[in-house]
Amino acid sequence: MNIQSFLILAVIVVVFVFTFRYVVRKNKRNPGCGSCHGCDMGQHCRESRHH
Amino acid sequence: MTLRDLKRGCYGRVVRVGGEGALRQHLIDMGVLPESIVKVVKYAPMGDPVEILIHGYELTLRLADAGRIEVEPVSREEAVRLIKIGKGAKMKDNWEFDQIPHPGLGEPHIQSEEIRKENPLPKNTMLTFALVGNQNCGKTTLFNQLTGANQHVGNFPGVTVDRKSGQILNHPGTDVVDLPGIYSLSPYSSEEIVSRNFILNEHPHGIINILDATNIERNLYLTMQLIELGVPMVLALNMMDELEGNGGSVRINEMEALLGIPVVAISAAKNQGVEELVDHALHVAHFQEAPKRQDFCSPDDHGGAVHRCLHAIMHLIEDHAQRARLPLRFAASKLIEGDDLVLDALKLEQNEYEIVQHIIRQMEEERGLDASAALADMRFTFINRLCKQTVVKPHLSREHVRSLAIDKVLTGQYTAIPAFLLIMGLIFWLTFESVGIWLQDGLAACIDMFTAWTDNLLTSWNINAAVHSLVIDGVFAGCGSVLSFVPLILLLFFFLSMLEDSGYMARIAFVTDHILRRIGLSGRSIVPMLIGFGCSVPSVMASRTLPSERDRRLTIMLTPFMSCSAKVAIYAFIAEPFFGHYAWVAMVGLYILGILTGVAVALVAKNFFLKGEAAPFVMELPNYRMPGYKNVLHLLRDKTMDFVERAFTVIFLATIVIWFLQHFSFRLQMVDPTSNDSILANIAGLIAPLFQPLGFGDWRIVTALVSGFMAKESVVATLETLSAGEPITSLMSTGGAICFLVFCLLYTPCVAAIASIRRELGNRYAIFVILLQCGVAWIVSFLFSLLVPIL
Repeated sequence: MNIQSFLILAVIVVVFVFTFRYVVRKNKRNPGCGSCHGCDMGQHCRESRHH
Repeated sequence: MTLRDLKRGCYGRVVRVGGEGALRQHLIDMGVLPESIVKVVKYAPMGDPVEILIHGYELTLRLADAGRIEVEPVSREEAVRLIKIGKGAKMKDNWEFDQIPHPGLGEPHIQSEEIRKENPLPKNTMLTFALVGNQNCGKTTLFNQLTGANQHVGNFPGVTVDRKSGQILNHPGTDVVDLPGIYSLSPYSSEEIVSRNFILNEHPHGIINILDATNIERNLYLTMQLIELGVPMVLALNMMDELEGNGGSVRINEMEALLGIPVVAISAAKNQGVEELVDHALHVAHFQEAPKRQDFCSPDDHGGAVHRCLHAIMHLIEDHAQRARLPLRFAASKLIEGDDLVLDALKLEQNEYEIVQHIIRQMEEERGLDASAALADMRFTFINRLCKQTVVKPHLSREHVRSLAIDKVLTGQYTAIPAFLLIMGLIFWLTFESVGIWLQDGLAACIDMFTAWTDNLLTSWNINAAVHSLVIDGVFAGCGSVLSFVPLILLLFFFLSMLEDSGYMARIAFVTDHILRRIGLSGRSIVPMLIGFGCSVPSVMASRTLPSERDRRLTIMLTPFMSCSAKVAIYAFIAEPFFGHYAWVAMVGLYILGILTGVAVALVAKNFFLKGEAAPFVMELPNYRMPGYKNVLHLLRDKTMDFVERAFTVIFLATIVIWFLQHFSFRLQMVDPTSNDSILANIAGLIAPLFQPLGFGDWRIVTALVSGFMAKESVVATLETLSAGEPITSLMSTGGAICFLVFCLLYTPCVAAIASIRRELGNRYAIFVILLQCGVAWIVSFLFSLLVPIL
């Protein structure tokens, strides 16, 4: 495996780990659609900047 | 005679409001009171419900409920004369004033030092405000102006179903809570309970009561009940621009003096008067300036029966109200109305309870009305006198004239259903056939170009074959295929938000109530179900506007059958290669099948496990409005961000995991992705036989279905990754494709929708919905697998 391949793989693994952490944390905080946009989750949605 | 016997265009004077319980109280709170003048505007296309004009606004109710309202027919001239005289005309009043000085309530630069020193809160106290008002009077628009937020607003009653909060712009240390719209403080639906509980239990420092100035009489009914709470409050007269544009006006000083609270004219949509409103609200909250007047019952009103009754009960329960931390006048009036929640909270002794009942009975006898009607009549009498003194009514507004003209077609007896079908057909055609497909093809071409460019770059860098495959066959194939469907989903959301913002959604509820009642639902259920075509999560939340628990359960059970926009990606992905030019017919067919299956399930539920009658249909029809471009743009931007975010998070993760499972064996050796040696082939192979009778027992398709539980778009990403360049037509036959599409349409909604169902109705119901949907999907797909060869 050449250095470019190794770097790309490393980037994918790092992004994968961070994305996984992000999704898990977000779903813990807001077990709904995972997004604060446009829906009526209101007080349940702590992701929203209004809370 | 009753209201249901009144012919279209005829007038009547209400003699008695029959019925009982929450619905009767709700009708009374909406102003359906003895001596009120009603006009029958029209009947829905199927003869039920009926639209009536009362106190200057349109209200819809079912014939069965209209049959409980006794009326006396009056001529048009007599009706106009009685409306002009109004309630309380014979009462002696001392409200004659020519020039009243500005009372300056809630204004720091006018008030004396004495008032300012009244009850100031310590500095740095976090000031909380409740934003309260009737449904569809512009609360969320004002909330957005106050806080700079982008909450979605619509033009049908009940867009806000939960409270939202935010800090007032440039005023740290403040918090405004946007509450769902309510007509009174009687708990009729769960959203009204949310609002009432917030005000009573969380003790906000101030109330911002917003009302629609074009429909001031009905809106003031809630104001009077809020004033009874004794909480510092400001009254915001919204839509003043519309009122003045149609020749109306309000004498603010006089209204302020008579109500004893600051009154500010605003236009929330144009951000006019909002700054002044904020100054007043901050002032009254900081100095805890309670309303200067709470006693609206007059000793002159019908011999003062209500006045004496209220004051007697207030004296009697004073200690109990103090202990229960309930405002005294509010507690007394709710006790008279027979509010069980307040009665329980007061913990009266038997003797006291009996005395209260005797006082109420005496009042009813003297007044000639039952307790609830007598109290509402007292409030409306005051409002009538107040409006006579302070409000110059507008002529028929341009918006209303326009609405009447549009309604001739959209809710006309012979045109309503064809118009509805035409509009929905047009929306689906534009989304799935013409504009949507052009945009999708354009975006897909761009993504393909970028994928090819990356592919060449990786080849030129001599990247390891496995990493190359991970990037191109995994990440690009998965995320790219999902992203290309963004235009379809956005177009569908765009049209749904247009329906919602224009006010047509409320008309759809009016037109479809009769049909929906046959399957045990109310017309109001159509709103969450139509939102379900966009996304099931807000649709489940929107079911909160329904006043009965049974209706909510049934509506929530049916919303997942309304095909959500994420499934569009699956339909387009499968239908285009299999059905070519007829793909859009297949897609529309799926939508119709979803609705029909929902109807069948509803009929079974209605007759077996959710027996009962649909909730009453009492709803206000708002004027049509041009959808605000800002509102629509915000919604589209938010939806795009939401979708793109999901493509790069959940779907990104899913595609990598699936790529790994597909390319490696249990011994972690790289294998041919299309072989049966991979981890994925082995796991999916275990459940694949379950789908063999349906015509799509291939392990790759089964894997795609399982991944769809995370997000529906993931089905496409998984299929794209697993097919490894193989055309989708080689994975299944045309018959299998039909059954697969049917299964995708009906099987369990995604995890986000299940989470919101769980939040609304609990774990057991959420599990029940998953099992029900999967069971129904399998059965209907199986039926199709039997039917397709015959056809």
